[in-house]
This record gives sequence, C-alpha cells and structure tokens, in this order.
Amino acid sequence: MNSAEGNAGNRSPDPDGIKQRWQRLGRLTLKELREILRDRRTIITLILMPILVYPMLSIVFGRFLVTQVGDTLQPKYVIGFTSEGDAKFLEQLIIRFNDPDREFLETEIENQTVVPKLTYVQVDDLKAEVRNFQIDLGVELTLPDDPALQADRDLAVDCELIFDRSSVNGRMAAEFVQQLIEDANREFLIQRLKFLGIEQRAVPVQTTMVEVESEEVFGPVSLFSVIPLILILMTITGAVYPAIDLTAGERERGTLEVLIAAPIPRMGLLLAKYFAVLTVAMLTASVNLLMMTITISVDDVAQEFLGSMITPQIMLQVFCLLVLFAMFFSAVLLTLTSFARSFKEAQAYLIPLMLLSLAPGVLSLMPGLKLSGPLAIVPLLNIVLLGRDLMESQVELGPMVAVVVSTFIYALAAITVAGKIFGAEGVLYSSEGSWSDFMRRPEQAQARPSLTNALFCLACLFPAYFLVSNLTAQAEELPTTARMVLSAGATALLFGALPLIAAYWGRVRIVSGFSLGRPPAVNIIGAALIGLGLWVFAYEAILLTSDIDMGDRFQEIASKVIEQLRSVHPAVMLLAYAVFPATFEEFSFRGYLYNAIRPRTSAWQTILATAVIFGLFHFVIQGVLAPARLANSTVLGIVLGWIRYRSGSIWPGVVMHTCHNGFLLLLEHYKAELAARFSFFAILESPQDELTSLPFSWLAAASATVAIGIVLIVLTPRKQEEIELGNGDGNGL
Amino acid sequence: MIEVHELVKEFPRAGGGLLTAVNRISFSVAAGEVYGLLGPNGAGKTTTIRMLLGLLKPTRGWAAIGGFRSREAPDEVKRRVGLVAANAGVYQWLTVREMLLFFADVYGMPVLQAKEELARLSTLLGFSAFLDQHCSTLSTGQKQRVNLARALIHRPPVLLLDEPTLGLDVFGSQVVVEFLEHLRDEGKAVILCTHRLHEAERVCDRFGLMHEGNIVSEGSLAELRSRSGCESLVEMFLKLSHSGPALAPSASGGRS
Repeated sequence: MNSAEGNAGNRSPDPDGIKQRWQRLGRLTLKELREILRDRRTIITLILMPILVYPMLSIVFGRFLVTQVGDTLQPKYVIGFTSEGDAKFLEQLIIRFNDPDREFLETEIENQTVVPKLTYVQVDDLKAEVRNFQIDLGVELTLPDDPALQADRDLAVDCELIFDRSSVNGRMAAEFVQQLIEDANREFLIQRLKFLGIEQRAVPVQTTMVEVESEEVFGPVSLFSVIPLILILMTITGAVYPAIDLTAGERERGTLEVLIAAPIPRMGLLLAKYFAVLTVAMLTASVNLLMMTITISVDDVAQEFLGSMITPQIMLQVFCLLVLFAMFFSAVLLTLTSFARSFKEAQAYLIPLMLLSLAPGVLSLMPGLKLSGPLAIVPLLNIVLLGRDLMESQVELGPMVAVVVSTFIYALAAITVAGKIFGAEGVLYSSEGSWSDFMRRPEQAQARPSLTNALFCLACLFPAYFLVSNLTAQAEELPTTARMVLSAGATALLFGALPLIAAYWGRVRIVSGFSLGRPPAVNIIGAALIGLGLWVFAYEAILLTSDIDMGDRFQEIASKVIEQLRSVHPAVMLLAYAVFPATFEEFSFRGYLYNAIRPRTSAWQTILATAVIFGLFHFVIQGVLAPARLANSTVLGIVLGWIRYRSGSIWPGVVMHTCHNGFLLLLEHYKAELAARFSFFAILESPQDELTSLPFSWLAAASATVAIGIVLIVLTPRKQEEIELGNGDGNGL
Repeated sequence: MIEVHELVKEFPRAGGGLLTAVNRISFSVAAGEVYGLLGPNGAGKTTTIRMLLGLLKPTRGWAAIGGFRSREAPDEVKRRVGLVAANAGVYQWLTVREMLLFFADVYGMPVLQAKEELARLSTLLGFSAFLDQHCSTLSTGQKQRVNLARALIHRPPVLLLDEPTLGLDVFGSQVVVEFLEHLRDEGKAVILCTHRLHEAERVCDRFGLMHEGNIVSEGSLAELRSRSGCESLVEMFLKLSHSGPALAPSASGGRS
C-alpha cells in the first residue's frame, strides 16, 4: 500500500554500544548537574544551609545543656545509696580527707566555681533507679565491718559509681563524686604515709565506673541518634530541590517534552536525572558532614559530648551510610515528583513524604532502641539507628547487612517504579491524577511479569522473609515438628503466595509467568543427577569456608538445627527443608524474578542477578549473618539458573534443588546408622572442627554424576519458550 | 515523507467512558511541502503531532515518518523529526550554545558537525550575538528562535511546529514565517499547527482543517475555497465553528 508498510516494525540497528550508552548517560548527567548547580537555590541548600545550621545547632545545644544543668548554673545531683552507712562513710571520707583550702563540694562549670546541690536517697536497687532516672548516680560501697576512717588502718573499700551514660546529669554527678573521692584518697594516702613512714603505692579506695544502658523508652535523648537524623534530614533537603526541578520543573518550563521527543530511552533520561539528584544529595551530605565535624571540633561543649565520633573511620562509615540513604531517597523523590505537573504540585506531594520521614526519624531518638529484628528493615529508621551505632562504635554485622541489603533493594524498586512513571504517556499528558494509572492492572493478560512488578514483589518479600525468619527463631517453645511445619508453611506463604499476589496484580499468566511448562524429561533426569552429585561439592565448600568465623550465635543455631534434624521424622524434615523450599524458591527466583529480568538483559546477567539475590536471602538466618551461606547459595543459584535457562521451566530446578537439599539432610539424619554399617561414611561423623576432605573416589563419583547430568541437559535442545523470552538475541550461553 | 493512516486516539474520561480526541484521520506530507493542520482549540492537532512522534500511542491506525511507524520504531521516527512544541521552553541555566550543542549530542551528532550547524543556524536565525548568554536572559522572540534552532540542529528531514508564533510580536512572527519558507526550499516536510490563519495562508501548500478530532476538509487553498465557498481561511473557520463539521469531507479519509 505504501512505503510505511514496508518498514513497519523494522528498526535500523541500534548504533549505540554499551560504552556509547554509558558515555551518553554521563553527558546527560553532566548537563543536568550543570543546570542544577548553577541554580542559586541549589547552592543555598548545598552550602549556605549547612554553614548556618551547625553553628546554630551548636549554640542551641550548648544553651540546652546549660539549662539542663540548672538555671543558676547550680547542678543538682540525686545520689542513691543502698544503706545509710554507705552514705555516712562517703561523706566522712570526703569531709575528713578533702583539701582543707577548698570549699566543700565546690566544682567548676563553664569556668565558674559553683557548689552542686546534693540530695542523698536510700534505695534498694541502684541500677534500676538509675535506669528509671530516679537518681542521677548510684554509689555502691563494699565496707569492712569496722569502717573507721583512721590513718593507722589499712583501709580497703570498693566503690562502684553507677550512672547512665546518656544522662548528662548522671555523667556529671559521677565525674564530680569520682573527683571528690580521688582527692580524699590522695589526702588519706598522705596521712597514712606519714603515719607508717613507708612508701604507699596502692590507692586505698578503688573506684570503678559502671555504665548502665537505659532500657526506658522515655528518657533523655541520645545525642548519637540526633546527629544521624540531622544529617539525613539535611541530605533530604539537598535532594528535594533538584528532584523537583529536574522533573516537575522541566515539565512546567516545557523542556521535558522536547527531551522525551529525542531518541533516548526514557530510562536513560531518568537515570541521568537520578544520578544528578544523587550527586547533589551526596554533595550536600559531604558539606554537612564537613560542617558538622568543624563545628564539633571547635565547640568545647560539642567536643565534650560528641568528640569521640570525630574519627576518619567513623566519618567515612557515616558518609557511606548517607550515600546509601541518598540512593534510596533520590529514587523515592523522583518517583513522586515525576507525577507532578508543576513545581507547586511536586512540593505538595513531598510535604507528606517529609512528615512521614520524620516519624521513623523521631522514633529512632528513643533511648535504648536497638537495631535488630524488624527495625533493621524499616526504611529511614534503620539508617538512623545504624548511624547512631556507627558513631558509638557499636555496630553488629548482621543488622548492618540487613540495613544495607534492604535499603539497596528498596532503592532498586523505587527507581524501577520511577522509570515506569517518568515521561509515561498517562503522566505526561493526562490532566487527571495519574496515581491510578500506575496502580491500574494491565487490561490484557501478560506472558511474564514486568520488572517493576517483580522488584516490587521482591521489596515486599525481603522484609517479610526477614521478619518471619526472626519470628521463627523466637518460637523456641514449640515442639520441633510443629516448628518445621511452621517453617514450611512460612516458606510457601512467602515464596509462593507473595509472587502469586504480584502476578494477580500484574495480570500475569501463571504458567508462562512462573515457567511452569513441561520440560523435556531428559532435563529432569539430568537435574536430578546434578542434585545428587552436587552435595559432595557443597560439603567441600562448607569445609573451605569453615575457617570463616560465623560467630557463636550462628554455631548455636546450626547445632540446634542439626539436633532437630535427628529428632524429627525424616518425612517432615524433607518436606520442611527440601521439598517446600526447593519448590517455592524456584517458583520465586527462577520463575517470577528470572522471567521479569530476562527480557531486559542477557541470560548470563539474568542468571547472575537471580543467583545473587537468592544468595542474599540465605545470607541472614534467624537474624544472624552467615557469610559462607552467601557464597554457597549464590553458586547453587547459578547452577539452578542455568538449568532454568536450558530447560525453559522451573521443574528441573525444583528436582535438582530438592535432591541437593534432601540428600544432604538424609546424610545428616542417618549419618550414625550409615557410619555403623559402612565404614567409609565414618568421615561424616567427625566433629565440625575436625572435618576433613572427602576421599578422591567420592569426588570422582560425584563429578561423574554431575557431568552426566550436565551433558544430558546440554544435549537437549533449548525450549522454544526460553528462546522467545530472550528474543533469540544471541545473548545466550 | 509523513504518512498518517486512519489514526485514532481515545482518552479515558475522568467519570468513565472514552473521549475521542482524534478520529480516523489520514493525510500525507511530501518532502518540500508545508502542511497546515488547522483547527480551533481542542480539535486534536497537538494530539496528532504527539502520535506522529510516538509520544502518544495511537488507539488505532498508524503514523509513519520516512517509512518508520511511530509505534513500532519511535527512535527512528524521533531521529528524523524536529519538534517545536507549543509551550516549549529553554534550559534557563544553560547558555544558548550549551543547550543547542547538548541537543545535537542527544541526537547523536558529532561535535564538529554540531558546531558547524550551530554557526549556520545562529546566522540564519540571527542569534549569534547572544550565543553565550544564559537562556533565562532571553526575550520571548529570542527564545523561540533558539527553539527553532534546537529543533533543526540535528538536520531532520521533518519538522513539526505546534503554534511556533505563539506569544511572538509581528517581527518575531515574520522571522518564523520567512524561515518556514526557507525550510521548504531546503526540501523539508513541515507540519504547521497554528491559529494565525493569515500566516498559514501565506506559507502552507496544503491544509487539513480539523474539528472535534476529524479532518473535515483537506486540500490546497484553492481547493478549500471552491469546496467551501469561502474566500479566506478565517471565513472557513468561522463557518466551521458555527455550523460544526459542515464542510465537505476530504477525499483522503477525514470523517465528519
């Protein structure tokens, strides 16, 4: 009919290689940065705000401290004793042996000599009263039967000063009393030396500072929580303006349409904007960190309380944390601002977000709040708590990894959502609200899930898995069989039901979306052989990684699991730890996730991506970090991914996964019986720290089994469905 | 060069149902031809332009440029088109030179070639003097000249102009009209959407009159005159707006 028909659907080959695409992305980002950094509004939030905010905060902070100490600069300390005798002894000690030229109990605050007002109270439990903030300081003495204060006696009294480090009054009271005791000690020693005429080396009253961590929810705020919160809020402030300007602002000025009209993928445009926003956010974080460091360094009061965190290592860690946060928040900001048609509308969208961000931020100020369990995956709150722990040098590796991984996944999910929204027809040209467009289910059934849908599912799955894993760990009172059934149920619910809900929402066809089609029978046999032979390599891998210190908690969990394996019926064990995990994990990872990623990238990259995510899910077990499991599970994920790629179905992978897990479990369950019957199984009975490599014949037999399995799969032609999924693009393996 | 066939665009209405913004329109524009797509507000001109470029997906039908259909090969179409949208703005914090070279780069033009084209266009459109000024300092007329240059910097064979003289004074409009004549001489296929009918009469070779999503009449000015009995485009417009799509439908598929 016409020339258009001849060319319909034909694209000229893409002239851009990967290198050119990255270069173009770099130039696009540079242009965005050039524009945004020339804008004085960016400069205000980037430089001017931090320059003003930190000195002002320092002044307010200083005044706050002074007011806490007292209106007239007179400190008031409530000191608790468990007995009247203790109080009397201490008072006598201080009065008798203190510097006669110095007025009793005077001290210096802000270079002024003041006399603190002391109140003595008798309590039963000093630590509890300190925790409840009923007393500032608890003094616990171990007195001899006759505690007479005479220089001719060899006096030996132990004294514990109990206080809460987060309480300013507590710290000051402890320091004050300690100083008094030290002065008295010195005086006592002088008098005793005179009396004995010998060299006295020992200090008669040995003081020990006992710090008590407050478990109270309401109490003085930890300064180490405030600082990361301020830094994060300032980073948000830095990212907000560029995010609005580069999306809603461009749309309002009429430059977005001409940019979308250029032959650049929308995702490329969005990524350029994302990197620009991220860069400005990181610059803001750097300037803030720098200004905060300078302020703390030059301010005496701040130096006193926060000086310990000003080390290059802590600053670098906090900066990395801010970068991670900026990655996540920039994506969230772009998602929201991409919806807006004007600057004002974008601001209206961001106000609730800012308020929402404040809620977990304020929550994080609660003293005694620990970064563990579910808190490690709550966005923003987890970052603030990790920041606090970094500054206090009290970081635990497990929760830290949970924070990093979950934030990274949230960022990835947010950027894919932003990619779906940014410049989309419904958003760009619709005069109506566009949220419904985003949430709307597709009108037609989809053969496979979209990447956005799958990543959204993943973003829900990871925290849910983390929570369930923690809850299962806490259900210790349940019988072993019940716990295993619970674990199987949780696996089905998480890795089965969640992707199914996502598939329903995305109107994804179940069979094609999860690759449930029938594979060639030879593939099943090949996969089973690989599964049966692979356990030997898994054993060797465990041996190789046995040097990695997994920590006591992990060893405890591992021992418990092994103990459970021996005590339950093998059928329950196989169902809970082999059949259910194998089936539903394949359903999620090699089914749903694989099919979402595969059309966008090569088979290798898809296999690797799904394997790494699979590995990350195995990284944390019952809230404890297991680095060796990460490597092992990732390698297993690669093998499973390859089988999925070759067969076009998840079923061979399910068989292989089940065989692999099942065989290892059965060996563990029956190892005593096997060792009794066959001498060569005795090697498995060795204690964990004395395990040795398996005999060569075992390795050879296992290698042969795996090799036969691989050959069977390689010799079977690839399924057509898989070829179509990857567009037959020659990216295969 | 430009072909539009039975193009339809429907938008969902807020209260339910569908709004047909463009209804089975067909026309074609050859190289070296300026086609005036005219009609009152809401006639569907901008929607048509957006579908041509692949910015909006047609509900039915197709549009193609240089043989490439906008739905199937949007990047190929975009490479061949320069767009001056009705409310196109400029990057206020970039200089004119930076902005134009950026767009040349976006379209994959080598730097040297882009600089040559920039020099040529700045002389032709008369903005050499403010090449290194920030775009925020330009007047409306200057901005529009920069926008024209932006649309042409990658030397596209097709130019889509949506109200290019909007907000311009007589002098500014004159520059644009003269430039359109120059583009025709260069052999470019141009679609011009405008309300300034006297300008359209002067520069367009053929016209498509749109009303409520339909092309109600199409042809040269002489053909439209004989078909409508009106002397000028203004009279035709008034007739259209008072009596609806009463003009005879065009032979190329416009539906009343």
